[in-house]
Amino acid sequence: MYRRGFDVTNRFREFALVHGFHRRRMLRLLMLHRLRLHHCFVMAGVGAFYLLTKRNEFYGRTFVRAGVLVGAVAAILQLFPTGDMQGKLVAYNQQPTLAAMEGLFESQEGAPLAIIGQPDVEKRKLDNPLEVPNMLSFLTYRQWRANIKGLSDFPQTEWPDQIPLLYYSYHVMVGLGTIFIAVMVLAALLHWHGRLYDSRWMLWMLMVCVPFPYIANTAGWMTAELGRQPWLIYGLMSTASGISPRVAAGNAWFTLIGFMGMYTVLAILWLFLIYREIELGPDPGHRPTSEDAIVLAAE
Amino acid sequence: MGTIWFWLVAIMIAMYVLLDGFDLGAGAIHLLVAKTDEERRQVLASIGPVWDGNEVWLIAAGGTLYFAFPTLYASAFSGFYLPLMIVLWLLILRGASIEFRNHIKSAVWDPLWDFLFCASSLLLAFFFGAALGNVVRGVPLDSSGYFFEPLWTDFRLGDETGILDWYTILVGVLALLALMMHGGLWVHMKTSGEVNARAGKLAHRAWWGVAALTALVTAVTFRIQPQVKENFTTWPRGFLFPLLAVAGIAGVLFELRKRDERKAFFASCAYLAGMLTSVVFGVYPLVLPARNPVYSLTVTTAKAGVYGLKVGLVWWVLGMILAAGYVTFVYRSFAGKVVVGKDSHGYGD
Repeated sequence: MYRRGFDVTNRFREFALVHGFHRRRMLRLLMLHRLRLHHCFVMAGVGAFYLLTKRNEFYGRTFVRAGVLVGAVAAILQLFPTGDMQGKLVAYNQQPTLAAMEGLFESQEGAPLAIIGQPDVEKRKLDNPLEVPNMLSFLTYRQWRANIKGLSDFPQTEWPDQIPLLYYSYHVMVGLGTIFIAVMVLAALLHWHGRLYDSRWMLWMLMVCVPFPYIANTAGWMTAELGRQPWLIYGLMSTASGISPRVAAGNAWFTLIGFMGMYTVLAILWLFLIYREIELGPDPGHRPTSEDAIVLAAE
Repeated sequence: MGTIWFWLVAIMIAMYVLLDGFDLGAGAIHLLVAKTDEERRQVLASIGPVWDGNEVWLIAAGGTLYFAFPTLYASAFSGFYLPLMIVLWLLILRGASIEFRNHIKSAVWDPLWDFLFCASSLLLAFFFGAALGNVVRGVPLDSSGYFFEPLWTDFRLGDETGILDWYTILVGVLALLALMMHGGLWVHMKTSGEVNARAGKLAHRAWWGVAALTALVTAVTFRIQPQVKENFTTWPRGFLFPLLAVAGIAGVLFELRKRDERKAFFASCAYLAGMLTSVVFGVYPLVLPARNPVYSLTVTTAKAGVYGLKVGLVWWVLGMILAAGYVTFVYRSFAGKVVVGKDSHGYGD
């Protein structure tokens, strides 16, 4: 079993094994997950899966450790400085977008940060809000009582045209990002105390978390694109003036359906291959053959 | 400044055709030259480390077009909407075929990807040729500066042209044959054994088709696009470009007979470069000829602001130095013939 402390020879053997002999399979796993936090959650999740099912436990521990330690750093970096910087960019350059993202309809000094709540665009208010007072002002301008402009201060033509969707995608992204920090930091602390590999609940958590970075990433992308509306280049070129005037809607449908089909097929194949790689495990003595594929497909 | 950028874009497109051309060609002949799994892995290994880098030249050329000739970019990308999307799908399919193939060894897995790899490469080579044909023939631009071409109409050179008509199909077939020859010479140079022999033979056979079609397409082009004739009569020095193409194509046959694999491949590069520069020289100053010459987009009407172009030139040069360094490094690292072990996954390991 794994012991905490400095067992140098063991560490070295681990390192050599993982980085030398099995670089290929590791690389392949990594290649399929180019994004930082995705890496970490997938690494940790696969490792947790191995530990919980009690196989490849040697690799399971290595994967969990690598995923958690790098992931904790990546999750925090995502909040500060990158997330913070991006938030400020929006606040300074796209004021209506910030208001819509936060569900802030009226201008306020000491604007609150809405944790949950449902925007009612017609009545211009946030239903069932759960808010942290003054927080939005502080995060944006580093002053508790700073004035933040609400949507009502801008002409409705400047409003993003899908306010609820924008609000929710932003909150999904930020909410998940916060959960990532909590999970990763907690796991890192457990590791520090040498209890990570025995905490089944944490391993479960890491395994279940694997899809969430993908959702957060997509939600973030949606936030950027929806938030920019009705502009293509903010303040310079409207989305309406960017369309191709001669491309008929029927042709656009054709390509949209084509892309959807293409991505569906690729996604299914991708899941199949990933599942297969995980199922085969990093054991070097085992090479994939056609029998494996049949057995796996039948399972 | 516009003319400089016109040639810079032309150079980038030529680089794309030379580099991605051989891996498209290798794909198009994949099923013909490689029969067993080991042979197919040889073909894939020959392009494995470079094919995706080569495709970046297309993206870079598109980006440069957007930067230097925004009007042309807006007009062409909406006018060629359908073929561009189809090309994109084919590129995705091709990339997926190369990447997915070696994950499973099975009688139903790799043949599927081999087929898709071959088919998508074949169609891409053809479509790129047809695209070039469209640009030379001219598109139905009107006073708004926009147009839209369906994939085909009546296959004639009327006012309402489609992407495919007899002329663009002819150019497409020439492009396919030329890239099959180009790819064949690449595979010939990079492999050994059966694949090497088959690729050499195939390139040799394709040569006759390329030579015949080159003559035919050139003759037809002079009739279809009056600008070409005008340019070559005004500046006879421009005949250097077609001369390069002729020397290249002659060189391919000569070197193939002498069994110098490297020189044959480089002669093929010279042929492609000569053909492309001839076209570029022929249509200048038009960047997108219209069926009605009044509405043609020219370097002057399509170019971006002079200040931006000047600043861009500095960055272009810096970027090119980086790219040239990278390309040299990669091709040197993977120089020589590929070796595929019985149990190896093809490339990278």
